[in-house]
Amino acid sequence: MKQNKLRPNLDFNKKHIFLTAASVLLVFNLYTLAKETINNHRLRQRYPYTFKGDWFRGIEKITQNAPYIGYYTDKSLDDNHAAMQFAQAQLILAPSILDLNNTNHEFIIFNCSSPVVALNKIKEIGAKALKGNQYGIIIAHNPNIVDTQKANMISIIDKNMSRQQP
Amino acid sequence: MIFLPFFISFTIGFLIVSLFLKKETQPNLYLKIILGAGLGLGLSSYMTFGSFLFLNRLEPQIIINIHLLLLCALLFNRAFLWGNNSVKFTPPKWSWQKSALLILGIIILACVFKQALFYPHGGWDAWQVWNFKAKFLLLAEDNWHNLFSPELWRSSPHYPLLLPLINVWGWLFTEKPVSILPLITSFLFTGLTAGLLCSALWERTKNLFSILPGLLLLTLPFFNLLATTQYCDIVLSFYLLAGIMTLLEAQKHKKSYLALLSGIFNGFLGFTKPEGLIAALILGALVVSLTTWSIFKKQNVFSSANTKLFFIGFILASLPTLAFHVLYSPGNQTFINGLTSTLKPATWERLQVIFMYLGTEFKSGKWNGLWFLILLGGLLGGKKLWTENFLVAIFLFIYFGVILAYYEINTYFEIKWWLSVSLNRILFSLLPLTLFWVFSSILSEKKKN
Repeated sequence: MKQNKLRPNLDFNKKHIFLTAASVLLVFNLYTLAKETINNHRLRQRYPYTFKGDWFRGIEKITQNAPYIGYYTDKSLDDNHAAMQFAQAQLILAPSILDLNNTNHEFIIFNCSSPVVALNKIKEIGAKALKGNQYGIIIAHNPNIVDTQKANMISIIDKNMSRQQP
Repeated sequence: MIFLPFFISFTIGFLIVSLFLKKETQPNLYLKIILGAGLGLGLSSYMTFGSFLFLNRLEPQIIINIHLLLLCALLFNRAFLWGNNSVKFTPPKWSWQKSALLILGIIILACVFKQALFYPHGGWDAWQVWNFKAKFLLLAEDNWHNLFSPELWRSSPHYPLLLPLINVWGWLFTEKPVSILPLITSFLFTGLTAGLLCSALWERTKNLFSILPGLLLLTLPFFNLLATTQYCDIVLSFYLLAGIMTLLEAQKHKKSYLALLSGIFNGFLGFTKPEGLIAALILGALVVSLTTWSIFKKQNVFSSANTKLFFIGFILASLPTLAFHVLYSPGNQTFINGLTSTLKPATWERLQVIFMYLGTEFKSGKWNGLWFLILLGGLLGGKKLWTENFLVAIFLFIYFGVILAYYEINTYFEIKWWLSVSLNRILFSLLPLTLFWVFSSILSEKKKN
């Protein structure tokens, strides 16, 4: 009989202990949320948000959504900053696929530690620098290479044209 | 205009949920709205995928037309065919407590949105995986297959496309792929997950404290950071909770269309991420096992009618996942089987690191002690954790076991780095379900004999 009376109280107490702990945590969470929100707000006012992908904006107007674009860099992608630049450039230039350190493409982006390194490489592969920006990003055109997909397309068009001719 | 696609999806989902449940005991309105939103977004993603699958390119006008056609059909059905069979909706009574809660909720959500704006382009995987894929699918036209090129191995081409396709659907209404849309998607899923947790608990326990775990999530800065970082983990978390809670609710009845909904949510879950697919398969296997056990033991724990409905939904909603894996996915390029590899074997030290890291992660200050609260709940919940919520308990343990085994077996990545970038996200995606498990065990009343 005693057990039956005690049992619900035990459950009641357990529930209350848990809910009290949860409520305390909620108050603590509210405090940390408010602190974090205020801190973030102050931080943003001091250091505005920068997106490295913006360095690559405008390139798509030159490349015209080419399926592949070469991306040459002398920086190691093990370094977070260099990897971030590559990832954000990929997002900005989608649906073009950036082919890392492959210069066998019609268009190549050079993101090097200095413009001298980039220009030397451009000279070495026989490409022509088309445009550069204040962030040191250079877009070059390689006249010796026509992308495979583009080459295929041109050959298909040529075939169709020759069929249409009397 | 930016909210229009979400509004269309939510309305379609809500009308379908209402249609499914029109002859059943109605769950609370909030739960119906949230389930409807999740269903609608999943369906929109699938309809967008259908354009790629059947027309081999994105056809915006056809996708929008199909949505509008479906919406019109559902509205027509609602207006003219339901008759008096539909259950009348009575609006909830207003009180000062509810007003206070609403104001608190709005303030918290405003803080969450403010935090989301702190990183308007999201986190690393948002640029490299999720938003990149969405933008690629939107703009690639006939070249969309290039998304699965080996050059894009950093973007995990084997990852399913549910979230990117939701964003593609949203971008069909804007002139260009605006970056605010993925942010809105992640913010909506954050709110929906917290709301689902609260309303599902309320449905199960009818206890006012059901609101507590939702508030705990939304006020935890680290949860908000991961939820609004535009990754797919919050989507996985939502569909996991939705699939399991609807299944638990369906169990209350011999035959309930909630089981069908559960199957559909489970199918969506498989299209979120590879972890989601593992979770969906485990849940499917558990349903089969529990039904078989019920039949052999002659206990009505899991009715075969519900199991049939669950699998109808699951199979139908898994067809896009199947098509994706058979037709497009290049397979996981970041996998080395440590059990057979001699160069990179799965070692005992690796396992030790995994468990040590797991302990460190649970203790980490970024969770504000939430895992300790769950531990306390586990200790106080006692038997009820294993009896009333057996399905959730067994699922969590199997799923977690599989994830840990995968960390051990796949030796492609250096384990410390891999754990540091992914384990917190695994725990994050399990958090709503774990809170549901503990709170529903604690808050539910003891059954009277």
